[in-house]
Amino acid sequence: MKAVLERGTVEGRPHAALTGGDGMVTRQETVQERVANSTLAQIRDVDIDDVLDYLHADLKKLPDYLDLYRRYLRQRWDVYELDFGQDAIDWRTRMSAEERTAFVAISSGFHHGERQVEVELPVFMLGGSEESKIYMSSQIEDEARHTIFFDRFYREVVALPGTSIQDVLDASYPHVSETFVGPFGLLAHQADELRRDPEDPAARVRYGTTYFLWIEGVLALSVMKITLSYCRTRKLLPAYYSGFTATCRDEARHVQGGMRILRDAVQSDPAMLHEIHETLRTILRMNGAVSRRLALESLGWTPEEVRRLMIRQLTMKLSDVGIDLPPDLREQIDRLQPELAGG
Amino acid sequence: MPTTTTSAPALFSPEWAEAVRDAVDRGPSDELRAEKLPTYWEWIDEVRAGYDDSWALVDPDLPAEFGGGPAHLLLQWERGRCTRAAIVGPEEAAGATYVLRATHEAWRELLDGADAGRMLIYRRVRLERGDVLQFFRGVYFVVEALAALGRVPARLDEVGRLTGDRQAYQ
Repeated sequence: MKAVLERGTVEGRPHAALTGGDGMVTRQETVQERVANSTLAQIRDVDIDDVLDYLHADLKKLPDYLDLYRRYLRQRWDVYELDFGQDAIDWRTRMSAEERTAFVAISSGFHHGERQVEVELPVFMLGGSEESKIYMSSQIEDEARHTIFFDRFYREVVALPGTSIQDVLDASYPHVSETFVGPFGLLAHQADELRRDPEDPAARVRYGTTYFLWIEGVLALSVMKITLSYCRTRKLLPAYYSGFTATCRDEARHVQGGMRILRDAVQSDPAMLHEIHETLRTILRMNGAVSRRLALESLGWTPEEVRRLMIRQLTMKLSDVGIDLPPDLREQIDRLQPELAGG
Repeated sequence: MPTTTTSAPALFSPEWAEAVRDAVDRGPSDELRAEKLPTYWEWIDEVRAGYDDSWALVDPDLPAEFGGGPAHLLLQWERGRCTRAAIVGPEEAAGATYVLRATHEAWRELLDGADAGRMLIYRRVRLERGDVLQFFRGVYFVVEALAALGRVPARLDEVGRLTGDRQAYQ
């Protein structure tokens, strides 16, 4: 079927839709346009699966940094526009104690994870091309906004105490798994390595593998899929759903930018593949430890489903950007545990 | 719970070093192990089984009344046993597989019960020297050893008590 590019508007916004030879608009293109162009109010009606499809659709061609920056300017949202009033009611009256416990356990890693990626990213921005620096400035702002999103959620919905951002982080930390230190402590110390020489290509690739591939590409997207599917199915926490879906759309840019960094580094110097492999060996080695049992079932997920979700998130990104793995790493991936610490 | 008392050995004294060696070698009590899933401890046991690295733990600004900083505690591991703990000079410390540095305030926090993992995340305890990827392949073992070290009673300053003021993490 011959595809034809047509231009028009959707609710006043320009859009491009692929149509088949019979003039029928293909569903995939329409949905992706909708994900890309939704305002914060509209994104409430977007399915997390469509955002994940939107993310992966561009992985094979990978937009350049200024394309991603322009997309950021269009998609930027105001975290203070969200009204958590209904969420607070849902939290108190429509969720069971078990659901709340599981939700907080899985979200607390994200709360601290957002703070962590926000503070560890500026050092990465010191290196790379001027275009990548411009783009990274937008990602730093995204991560700060996501930190505020969780700060508001924990204050206004979960009702954690505290007057400062640090107070609320301290209050949610007991819910964070002990294994959070694995990927996020690693990132902190890889950031330290970069601080010594922000242009060191091997250090940048190791850092990028932890940050963009594992933390954002696997942990974050898996947690998003789990919690947002729960909210959508149960029709709960509307502001959380809107803000976190918008966060996921931001992550699409981050993962695409990050995969571009890794792909370009390997194309420029194939020896960088070794750095990706070694970093993955460390990450997957750490993944074997699980210190707390998450009641995933109360959110509608089995551990095996989460395990498969994580494997899928990892392998899709690796194959889309052409990162081959040796047999030992493939075996490690097969043994992946549904450990979402830091999500 | 603070682990500092006036009768306890001074931080970075030979007596304290030996008490640390004993604590990290013994590992956590059954009561502490029960607070986390068995799989977590099995992971640590597996890492520890063949562990032959050494750690130098540094306090760059130990108070003058305790000998002054920088002070270095060297912990040597051989096939999973902590076989040596000694207060050493900078040259010997530099030869350790991993050099971990924490300010004196951070040492206070650790002995006051701060979460050792979080201190690593916030770089209150910082890997100053050593291969980062290799270090993190044993990270939960290191974290639990630091937590065990934090439970060893030690005298930190001339009045033998903590300030009680929790430091901001970053």
